[in-house]
Amino acid sequence: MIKLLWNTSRHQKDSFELTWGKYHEDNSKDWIYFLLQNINYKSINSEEEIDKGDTVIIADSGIHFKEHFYIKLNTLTKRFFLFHMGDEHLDKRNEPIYSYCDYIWRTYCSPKYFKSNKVKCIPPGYKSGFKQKFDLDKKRHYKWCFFGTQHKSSRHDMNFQLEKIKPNFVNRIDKFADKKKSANVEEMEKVFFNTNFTPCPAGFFHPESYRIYEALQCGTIPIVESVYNYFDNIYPSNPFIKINKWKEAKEIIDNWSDDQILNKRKECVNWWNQYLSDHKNFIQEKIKE
Amino acid sequence: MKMQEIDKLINNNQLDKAQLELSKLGETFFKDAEYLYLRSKIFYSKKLYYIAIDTLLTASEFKKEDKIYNLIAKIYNILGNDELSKKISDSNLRSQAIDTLKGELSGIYRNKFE
Repeated sequence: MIKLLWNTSRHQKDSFELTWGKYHEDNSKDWIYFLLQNINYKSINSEEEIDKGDTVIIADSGIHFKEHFYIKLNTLTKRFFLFHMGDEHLDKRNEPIYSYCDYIWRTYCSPKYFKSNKVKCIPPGYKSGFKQKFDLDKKRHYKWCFFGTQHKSSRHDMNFQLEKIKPNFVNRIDKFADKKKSANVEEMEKVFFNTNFTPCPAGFFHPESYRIYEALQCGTIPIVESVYNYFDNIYPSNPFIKINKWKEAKEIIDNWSDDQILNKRKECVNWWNQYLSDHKNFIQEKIKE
Repeated sequence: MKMQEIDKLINNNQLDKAQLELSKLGETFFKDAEYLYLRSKIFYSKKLYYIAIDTLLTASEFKKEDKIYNLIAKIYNILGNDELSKKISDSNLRSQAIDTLKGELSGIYRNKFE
């Protein structure tokens, strides 16, 4: 039997990782469950429900603080697969934990995983609640939108370069997942569904961000920073618009025709749906092996 | 290898070698202005402009040096923010310009003991 244990806020004593664990509990389930749609599994609440010989899927974060749990799992199960979320810092302490697993899917890639036969990178995904419910052909009101913090110079320059391009929608907050000021998924969807471009500056430590996949999920065009060609390495033939300077995005957002925008939006949606379908199949095959 | 020698490597466009030498220096240098400046020069040479600015802003928390401000000004000129570039180039205006910029960025390291 295949069993799924969501472990992000369990066995965690580190307060930073526990905060993130709870974040994933609240926000990453739709994404991971979607990827596992082709698998026939039973959700369990603790390792006590694992029987010898079970195949187990663990969804987790902050794993380097949970070595005892993984050692125990290694002895309990026939095979176990890990969906490792978070780890934007690419913490080296995760490597020993990976050695206990049969296969790992992880967010936030690093070149060392590009050719790995044990680790496959996946996007951090979209926050739970985002649905692909939009009319692709409908003309959209906002030229661009942004939800998030202005933590470093890229986001500051993005704002400087793009603020005069209107209509736009900006919800700038002071800290990540600020409960008072952050828009909720429903509010974000409403704006994304009515927007053409989503500038996606790099995250705090890593080029990835949830924003890219929320944009794709809502049919807008992600404009990403081409740091070390990250996105071309991880997703060859992706349709994202890649820039080195936000000045380049300004010209695109301001000058593209309606037809150009619609064609690119379609290209992005098609690519994203194909990626999702291929990856769901890949996961199914891997777990079946 | 000494910082001056690493700087020479960067000036001779031996960026990978310079990067390797810098990475050998380790964590004790993470708050060293010269180390951060050299890291920034490599980022700048690789056209990673935003990472270069962020690193230079951190370097300026540890040492107020003209070369740090001049490189920030040069990058803002490339990015097309001429007004900010000019302010940072001007020794009378730079301190306030940099302070305002850092105040607008929540993720730049601030040295509390300055």
